Amino acid sequence: MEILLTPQILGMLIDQGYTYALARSELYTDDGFETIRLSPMKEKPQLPELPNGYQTFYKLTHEPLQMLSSGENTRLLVDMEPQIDLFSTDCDDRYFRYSEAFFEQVLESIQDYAVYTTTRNGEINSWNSGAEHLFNYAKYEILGLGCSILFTNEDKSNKLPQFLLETALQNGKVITEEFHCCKDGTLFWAKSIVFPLFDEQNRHQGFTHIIHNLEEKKKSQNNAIEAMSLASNIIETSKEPVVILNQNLSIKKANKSFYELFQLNEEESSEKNFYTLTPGLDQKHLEHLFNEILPQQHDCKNFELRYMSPSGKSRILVIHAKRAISALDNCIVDILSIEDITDERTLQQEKDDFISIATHELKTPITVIKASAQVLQRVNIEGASPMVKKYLQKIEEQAEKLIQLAALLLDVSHIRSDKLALNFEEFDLSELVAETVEDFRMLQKKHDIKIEELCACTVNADKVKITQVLTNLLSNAIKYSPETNSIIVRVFPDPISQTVTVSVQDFGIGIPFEEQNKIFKRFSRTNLVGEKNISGSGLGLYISAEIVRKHKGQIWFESEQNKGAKFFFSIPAK
Amino acid sequence: MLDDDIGVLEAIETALTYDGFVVKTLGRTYNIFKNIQDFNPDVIIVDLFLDGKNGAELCKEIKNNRETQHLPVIIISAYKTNIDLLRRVGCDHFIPKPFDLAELYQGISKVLRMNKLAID
Repeated sequence: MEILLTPQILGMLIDQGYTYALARSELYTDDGFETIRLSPMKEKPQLPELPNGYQTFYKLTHEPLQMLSSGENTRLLVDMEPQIDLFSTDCDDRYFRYSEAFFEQVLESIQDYAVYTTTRNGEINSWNSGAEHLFNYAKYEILGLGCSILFTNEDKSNKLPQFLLETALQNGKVITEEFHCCKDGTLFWAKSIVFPLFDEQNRHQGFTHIIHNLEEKKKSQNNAIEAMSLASNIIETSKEPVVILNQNLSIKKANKSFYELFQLNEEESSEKNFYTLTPGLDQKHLEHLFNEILPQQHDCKNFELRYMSPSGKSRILVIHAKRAISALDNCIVDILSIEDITDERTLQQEKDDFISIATHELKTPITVIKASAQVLQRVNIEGASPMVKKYLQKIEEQAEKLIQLAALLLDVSHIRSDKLALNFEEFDLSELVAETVEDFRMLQKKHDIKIEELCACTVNADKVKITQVLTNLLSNAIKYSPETNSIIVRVFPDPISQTVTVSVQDFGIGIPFEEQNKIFKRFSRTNLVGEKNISGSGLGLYISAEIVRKHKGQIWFESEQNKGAKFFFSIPAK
Repeated sequence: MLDDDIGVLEAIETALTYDGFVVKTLGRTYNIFKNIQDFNPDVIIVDLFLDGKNGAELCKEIKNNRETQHLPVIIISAYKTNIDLLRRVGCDHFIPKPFDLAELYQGISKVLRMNKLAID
């Protein structure tokens, strides 16, 4: 580290036992400055050869060096390689000198601010790396020059640099904002603090200058203002009510839709708390959002809330909220976007109710169809051709399919209105699986259903509904493997998660990759089933997934097109 | 049998008649007790949702009437029903629609058997 050799530094070196200094001189013909670089040594250098390009050496005493540095255009720089015991307090004067070197090191570590010191006359005698970065002057270029070089020509002609030094000395400190000048002539706006430096005898030694570039901050502020303006326009054009709340929950900004939703007057609403402005909202729920969810997660989607409007109408609102920090004033804000889903929810409910009613109403005519077909089958109709009996059989089969479809639709309706009731009981899942597989073996002979793994495992579940899930998976395995005949079932426990898993594997048409993400959605059927002419409602897996979910279980699958599918479901084990 | 759907009445009447039952069908609850008195049935089958009156209420009335309380009542319905509620009104058996004829025969046999045991 190189610093300008001051009397304090010289004294410090002498105290440390440095008695000589190697020297080399460098001339800069551009500005005519001569720089003498010194490297302190504790012993007399050995002649004739001096190391590192040094040309001569001097004894480290005040007189010769004062003589050397007396030239106007000469500056002495000393290489501070020697380590100094900064914490020695043998001599107060020495401690001051040591601390000066220490603070030199501290200043070097400050990268974001230019910090430099000057003599009483304003000549720069220290220059940190922050100053190098800001002004683009290297240390060796600037040391010894007057600090006025860092000001604009206009300020120089107005004698601003001298004025600042005089004012700092007079008042103890001066803080200003002005343009400063880089090496290449670029100007930048900066805040500067100048304060005088005194030694312990209270003798004025020089000045410290701290420069902070405000260009970046100004730019950031302008960007922030522009961003705020854009955000404001976006909020205003949004159809959904949007509000930005201050930390104290007063309104910072809201759009017209917000004021309309809550029937508020914009002017009267300023300074009022959000709770006060929206008494129709569930206050306890709101407190949960502002005091617990947002502080912890900073983000909240689909927060549903009931709202009773001043006119007495009940609405269902969904709030999407985010906690952020305002770039302009560094304050926490809560951004709320509110969606009124009342109409959507009502429509959905009406649809679900319609499906429920229609499905129920279907059951009566199906009863008649079924009963009639059964009666005719029993009655020995004279002269009835085999075709009559065949089609009577078909009528009954199709009636049965209608019954199953009606049952599925009703299940879907119950799921959507959250009315799927479960009757929990303890039973051995493996026994249930074995029974269900046996039933399927009796009903069809084409597919060979093997149980390859079975473990005794008690669960607490709705036996009927779990059977429904199993039946659905086995039916699908048979249905979607028309050209193969092997189906494998496994039941195995997971002691870590304390669950039991059932898997049903077929080797049929499989599920194409691009369609796998919708397999558990309502009415979902892959394109392959259409090609292969395989019938189905697309509801079975949706219902199975919901049943498993209601049991706090999981359902998933692995499949590849034309290689079959393996469906799994797991539920908690006792 | 009471049901406001004529299709159901005709189909069930045909089936039961073929198997030797004597069936009287009614589409409304109007004058029900007179009809019961005149026909003197062994079993009453009633749909849960009828025009005007709820099948469960009718069942309760039948069971609360000294003249008719001995008659077993089977309730049929397309809607999911609270079985406990039906038991409380005295319903002897519930058959959800749509049903097989075999289920209907089983229900009728069961209530007749139980009624005979009760009488004995």
